[in-house]
Amino acid sequence: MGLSISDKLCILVFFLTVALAAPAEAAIVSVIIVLLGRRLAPPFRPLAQASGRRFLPVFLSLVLLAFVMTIVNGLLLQEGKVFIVAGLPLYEAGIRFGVKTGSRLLLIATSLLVFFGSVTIPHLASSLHRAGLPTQIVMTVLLTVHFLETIPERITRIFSAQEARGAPVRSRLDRRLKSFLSILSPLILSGIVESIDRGTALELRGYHAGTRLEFEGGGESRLSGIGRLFIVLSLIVIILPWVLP
Amino acid sequence: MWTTIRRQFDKEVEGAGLPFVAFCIALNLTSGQLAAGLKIPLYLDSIGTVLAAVLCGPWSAIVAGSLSNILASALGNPAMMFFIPVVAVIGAFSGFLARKGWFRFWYLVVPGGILQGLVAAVVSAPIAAYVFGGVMLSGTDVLVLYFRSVGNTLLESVFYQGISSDPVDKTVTYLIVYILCRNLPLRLLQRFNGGNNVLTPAMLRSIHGS
Repeated sequence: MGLSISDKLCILVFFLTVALAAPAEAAIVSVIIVLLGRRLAPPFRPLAQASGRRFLPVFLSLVLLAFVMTIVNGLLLQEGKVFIVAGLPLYEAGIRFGVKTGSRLLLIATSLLVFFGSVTIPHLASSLHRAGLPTQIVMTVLLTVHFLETIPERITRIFSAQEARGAPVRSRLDRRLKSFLSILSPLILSGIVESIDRGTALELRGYHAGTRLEFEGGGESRLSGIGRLFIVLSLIVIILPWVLP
Repeated sequence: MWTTIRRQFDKEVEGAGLPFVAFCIALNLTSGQLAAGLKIPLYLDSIGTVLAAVLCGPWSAIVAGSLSNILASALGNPAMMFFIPVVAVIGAFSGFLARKGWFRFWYLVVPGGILQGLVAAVVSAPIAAYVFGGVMLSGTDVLVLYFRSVGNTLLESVFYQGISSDPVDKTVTYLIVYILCRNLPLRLLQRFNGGNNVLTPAMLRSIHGS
């Protein structure tokens, strides 16, 4: 079963609508369907091993969040019947609200995780571009992916350098804020310099204000046809004296 | 209207603007982690958005903020998708303040940050309350629980939590952006559409020699 990114987007929108509009029972059933889909349907399997590994801890933390949400609301929204669970008085209205909000959140988060795990950002960007998203936005997304790969390494380098110079990176709050600034300054400076370089490189490649200058594929005109005829005639005129005795 | 917005955005991202907006998005996604790594009890995750607003313009900042949250969702934090309206408002508001010259003097930056925090709290409260039930598994949940335990409704509790933490976070963000921009070399500032947003009238006069 081959599904395009736009098909997957439609399925995502459907589950988001279920999360926001349908009752809690429908949201819980939908979470199970999404989990089964991720397991059994090849188009929804994670593309990268890393996103596959990240799914379970994130999902479990969301389940924990939904559980905490239910308990906290059960304790605080004091309306309806009281249930004593492990010595805690939990109220019906609070539990209902917690389950509703928790299941909604779980469905939203799970469907987003499955969707983003099964598509790559460059593919998503190119698909959205085909759907009419402006070129600037697509290029911004692709450039961000590049920066995201390089920034953590730069931060680590600057952080180590600051620490080696004796900057108080693990000291009082005001000093930590100062060291935050001292890490950010060179990072932003290098980011600006790289942006200027990349901006110049893009303009040299024909990109200007988000559009690409077209160097090919222009429509044929009568003049270009006449031009070609003259080039062919010129070549004939040049070659003919060589060929003829 | 769409054509006018696109033209304005095109103007903002001319030359180095487009890669810089991309850099700001990446900065948004990493500065929060850096703040957490340094154990700073603030989010500081909108520095890139405010930086884009000041140096490029409001439309670039809206794009930077929105794409940051979409990419954060893609990278394992799906809750961020629902806060896109909040970051869009942060981008638009800080871009508006930058245009009005609020990033030229520190005494305007501080009230600007406080105002920004209040605006962010107003926009984020309904989302945090109705989508997440006020619980986000972060340190600020304690404040929501406290405000609920003293008899406030969920929306009120989330809003009070917002106005007790957001203005501080946004004021620090604004001050960081102000300090960073004021320390940038003039030749770099002038490469951006909004470079003049941080130059005081005296600096502008010295550049133009009049």
